[in-house]
Amino acid sequence: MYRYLELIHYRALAELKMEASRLYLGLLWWVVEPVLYMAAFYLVFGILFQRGGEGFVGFLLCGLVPWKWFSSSVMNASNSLAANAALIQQVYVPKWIFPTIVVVTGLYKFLVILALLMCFLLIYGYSPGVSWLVMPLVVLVSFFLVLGCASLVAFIVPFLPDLKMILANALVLLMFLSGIFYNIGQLDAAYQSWFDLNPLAHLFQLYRTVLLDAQWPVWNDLFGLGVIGLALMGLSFSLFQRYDRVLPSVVG
Amino acid sequence: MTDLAILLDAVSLTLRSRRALGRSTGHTVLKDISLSLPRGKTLGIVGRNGAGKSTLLRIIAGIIKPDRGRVDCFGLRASLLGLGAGRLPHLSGRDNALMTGMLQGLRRRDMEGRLEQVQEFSELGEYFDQPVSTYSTGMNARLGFATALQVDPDIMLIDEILGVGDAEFRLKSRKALRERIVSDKTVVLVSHEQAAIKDLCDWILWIDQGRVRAIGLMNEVMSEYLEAMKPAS
Repeated sequence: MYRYLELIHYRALAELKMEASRLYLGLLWWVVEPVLYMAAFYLVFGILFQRGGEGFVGFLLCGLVPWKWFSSSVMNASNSLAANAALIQQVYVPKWIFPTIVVVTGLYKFLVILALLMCFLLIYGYSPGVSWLVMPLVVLVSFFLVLGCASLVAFIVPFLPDLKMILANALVLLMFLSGIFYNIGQLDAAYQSWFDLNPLAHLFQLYRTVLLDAQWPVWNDLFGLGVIGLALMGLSFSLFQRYDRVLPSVVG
Repeated sequence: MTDLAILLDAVSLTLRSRRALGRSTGHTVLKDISLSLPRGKTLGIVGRNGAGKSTLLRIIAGIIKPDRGRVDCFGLRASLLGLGAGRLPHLSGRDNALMTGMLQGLRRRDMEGRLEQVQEFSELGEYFDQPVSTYSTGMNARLGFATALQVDPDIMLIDEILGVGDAEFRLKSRKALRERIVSDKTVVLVSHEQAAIKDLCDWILWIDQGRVRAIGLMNEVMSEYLEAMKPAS
């Protein structure tokens, strides 16, 4: 087990090195690319639609930053077994490590962006509270959720390649339904109970409670999300275990 | 029984290929393959393209599970040595060799200690620290073979990597392999190079369309095989 963790870490770093070496601006893209992404949303929803008003930038970023980690991980993980098909047919490796490499690569980038976000909030006039100390726990819970969803998708795609065709659209829909650029609390009460079913909406709300309001998170939410994430991880990992030596023929 | 390295008992594999709207067709890749190989022996697998030779190596390596039958390697670590499948082209030869070692089950520290020998055997010199995307086919092959030698599993499964590199390197790699074989390493070899098979193997398994056509001592099976492979006159 330990040597697989070593391998995942090494591959994730290699992946990052590889991305950086391909581009002129190299490592700078880690920062520039997400900033551009967030600027686009700010332009449309903050300036053109005049949404949110005071404090909208912080509100938006606390949703977008973890969302970007989630969506890019799920998207890349869906391709992770096919991308490593040659390797999978050459060496025995437990197949769960491939989506995990994707998610860990995303985690390293996310941590950099999160640090930048916190600096930005400080400059913007938010004051840090003791609650910021709970951030590692929030990140851990996010990791469980991202890994659970990404590895489940990675497992299903080789058996049902058609899923890839709807994945990008499903992610766009999910983004709009997760309360990233509007406050779910302001919606019609009839709809609000539906949003309660979306774990991501709860997750982004946690980031806002902790970072913007400097309050302790709703502990039930935090632990509930952790349990959902772990359950998804358990499900997909047991599927991976069961089909570990069948997948090489399926991806090839 | 303890002196066996590999035991296959009636191993069969059928692959289903998917068609649109759920229909699928079955395709028998291997059918009732049985063999037992004692430790320290070298088995050559021969047969036409598509006979199932590479698939059989993958089953012995534990990469694929057969539908029926039993595979046992008695706790030995068997790994398939191929030519750098799954390399990351933007990483250097050194980083790729390290990663291959880790994938084959070595700890990072152990493999780091063997990188000097990989560099030396592969004769890559300073190219060892260049991205493998800049390598020629021959350099790639040299890196692959040198890495495989250093990974050094209990059972070496070798798939068509003897015909690589220039004549000089081919001679050197065959010599290195023979040293392993002499030192009681268990080896299973797939090759279309008859010279290599004759030179290195004790036993031959001849498979034809996924079934055992013949199995036995090298001389006997090889002459039968060559007879059958002669173009019909």
